[in-house]
Amino acid sequence: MNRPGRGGRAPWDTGALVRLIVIVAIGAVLCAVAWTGASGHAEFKDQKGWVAVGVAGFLVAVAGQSLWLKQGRRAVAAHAAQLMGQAAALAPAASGPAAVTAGSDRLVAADGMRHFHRPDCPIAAGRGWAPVARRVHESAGRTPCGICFRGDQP
Amino acid sequence: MKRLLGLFWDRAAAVGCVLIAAVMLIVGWVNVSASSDAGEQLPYIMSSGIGGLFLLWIGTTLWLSADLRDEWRKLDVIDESLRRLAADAPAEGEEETISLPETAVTTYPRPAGARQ
Repeated sequence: MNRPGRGGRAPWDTGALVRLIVIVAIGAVLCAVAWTGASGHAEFKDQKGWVAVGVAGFLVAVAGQSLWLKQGRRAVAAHAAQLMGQAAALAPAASGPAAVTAGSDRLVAADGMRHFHRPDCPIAAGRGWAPVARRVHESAGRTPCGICFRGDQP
Repeated sequence: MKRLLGLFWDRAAAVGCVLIAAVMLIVGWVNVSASSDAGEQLPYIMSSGIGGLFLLWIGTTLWLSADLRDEWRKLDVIDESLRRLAADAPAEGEEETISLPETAVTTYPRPAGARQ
C-alpha cells in the first residue's frame, strides 16, 4: 500500500479507508448475526456457539481498526522523518547568515541569565535587550546559547 | 454550531459513539441484572454488551484518527514552510538573511481557539 503523498488530507489513502470500512462491516454483521441467533434460542447451551460468533466479530472489527491506526501512525512518523531530513539539508544554508553576525560581537542577554544570544535568536527576539560585547557576557559568567550558537566552534 | 460540527465531524462522531455506547452498556447491565436465567441474559450481553463495546472502540478509533489527521496537517504546514525557506535561501556568495514566513501557511480551516 502506498503512503499518501505530501499535501494529502490524511495519512491514509482511499484503499486503507475502504479496507477499514469492509472489515468493520464484517465485524458488525457477525455481531448482528450472533445477536439474532442467540435471541432465537431460549437455552444457554444453544446460545454458546453464537457467543463465539459475536466475540469473533468484535475482534475482527478491533483488528481492522488497530491496523488502521497503526498505518496512520507509521505514515505520520514517515512524514515527520522526511521533514527532519529537509530541515537538516537546510541547516548549512541557515548557518551562513548566522556566521556573519558571529563576528559582529553584538550579543544580547539580560541580568541573571546563564546564556547570551545572537540578536536574531528566537529566544532574544522582541526582548529589547541591549547588545554588548561577547567578553562582557563571558566576564559575567554567561555561555553561548545552545540554539543560536549551535554548530559553532567553542 | 453547524460549522463547528462540520469542522470537527470526526470528534463529534467519536463523542456520539462513546455516549451511545455508554447508554447501551448501562441498558444492557440493567436488563441482565433483571434476569437470573442465563438464556435470557445472553441476548442482552450480545446486543448491549458487545454492541456497546463495538461502538466504544469505533469512537476511540475516530478520536485517535482525528488526532493523527491533525498531526498530518501540521506536518504539511511545516513542510510548506521549509519549502519556502529553501526557495528564499540566498545563492552561494550572497549574504542575505533567510527569512521564515511571518504567517503560518495553513490551508485547513480551524476556528479561533481550536486545537491546532
